[in-house]
Amino acid sequence: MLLTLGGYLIKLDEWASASEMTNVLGKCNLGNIELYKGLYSGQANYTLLISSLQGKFGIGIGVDNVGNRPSILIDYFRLNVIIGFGQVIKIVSIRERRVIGENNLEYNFYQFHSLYHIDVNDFFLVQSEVAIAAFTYQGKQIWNYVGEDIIDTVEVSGIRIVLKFLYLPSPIYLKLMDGTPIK
Amino acid sequence: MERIMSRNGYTYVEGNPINLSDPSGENPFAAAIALAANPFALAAGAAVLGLACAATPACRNAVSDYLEKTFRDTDDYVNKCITDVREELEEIFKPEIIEAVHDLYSQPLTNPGLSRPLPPALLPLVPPILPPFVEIFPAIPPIVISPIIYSSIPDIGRKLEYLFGNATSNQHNIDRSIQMERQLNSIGIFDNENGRLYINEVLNNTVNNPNNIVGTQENGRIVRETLLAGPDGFLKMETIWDGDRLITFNLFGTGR
Repeated sequence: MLLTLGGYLIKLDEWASASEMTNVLGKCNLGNIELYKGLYSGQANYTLLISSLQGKFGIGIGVDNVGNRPSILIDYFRLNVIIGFGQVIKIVSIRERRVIGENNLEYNFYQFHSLYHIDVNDFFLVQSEVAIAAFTYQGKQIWNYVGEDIIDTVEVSGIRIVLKFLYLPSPIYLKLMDGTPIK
Repeated sequence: MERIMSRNGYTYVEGNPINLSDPSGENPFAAAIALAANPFALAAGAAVLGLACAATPACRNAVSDYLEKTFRDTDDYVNKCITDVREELEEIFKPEIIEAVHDLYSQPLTNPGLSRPLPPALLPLVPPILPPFVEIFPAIPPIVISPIIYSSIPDIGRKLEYLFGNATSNQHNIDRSIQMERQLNSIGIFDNENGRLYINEVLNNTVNNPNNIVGTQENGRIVRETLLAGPDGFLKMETIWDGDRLITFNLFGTGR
């Protein structure tokens, strides 16, 4: 599967072993970075191969298999990829070929919610198993809301966020701009 | 060496009611041993005594009974028992279990309470039989540890459904739930009465054990680390608690 980012092509792959991943990364003529977190034991391995006219740059992601796959969010304005996996998000600059931002999460990362579609271009949401947080595209946390239980669904509806929990009565509503509950 | 206090038939728990209890009146160490069955102690005890099948209540009872018997009399008797089980160890331990335990204990354990030495009486047992355990035993606590005082009953709500692969709705939660069930299955713990009883007991021990706290979140929630012991291997389980209320789990490892 290929994604387009400016003049770059990004290829996403999953590997059965860490050695396969390392082998692929070793063939990137523009270098590579490997991102690990937690007790990584080679259970789940992914690569992003970023191709341009100059050649290929690789990003390897190794994470303990807790059931959730890594996810990437493309920052079209700054040519960055934001990668969420394990209990961390990392911002990688495609142009600089290095990690330029990193934030640890208290719970397992689930998914990103970009807000381009409602004309919010300066921050995005990170949904984890029990929390939801807003980050700038530079990696600065704006707010963080920790739920009372495992989050089931997150829906952005106008200027509010609708949260439903797996086993608790819900929904509850949060303000999009600061994450405070709406009563 | 004989326990002098045990000669007086009218003393309760050998005069040590703070650390021991004896509901049956027969053995002051019975409750301590039973209470010592926190997952680490249980796993360690089961491993040391070759009773690695500690996942079912029947097996746990066997471990408790054996320990109770072992500690009932003198140290000489303990040594004799140790000698007796020496040969059994070789038959009971599977290489893959040893490897799994080795892997788990090779990972950094941030809780200093888990790094207590093996009882000296058991040290002679180790090198000739299970060389790999020489490296991991220093991280395993002694069989008899301070009894846990059950002051809290955990509120786990319907989280066992989540742990046993029955979560519904959100795909992320379903994926997590199924993966946790697979991991439990890999060590021989299944979604049945025994499996649920075992997990319930582990969670009960977990929330009542002050020695397994490995972190505190910004909002005060407690992160605890526990070892799950199944018939086919071990998993490291991280749980997050809001007081006595269980928020979520993380399982590490695949059994073997």
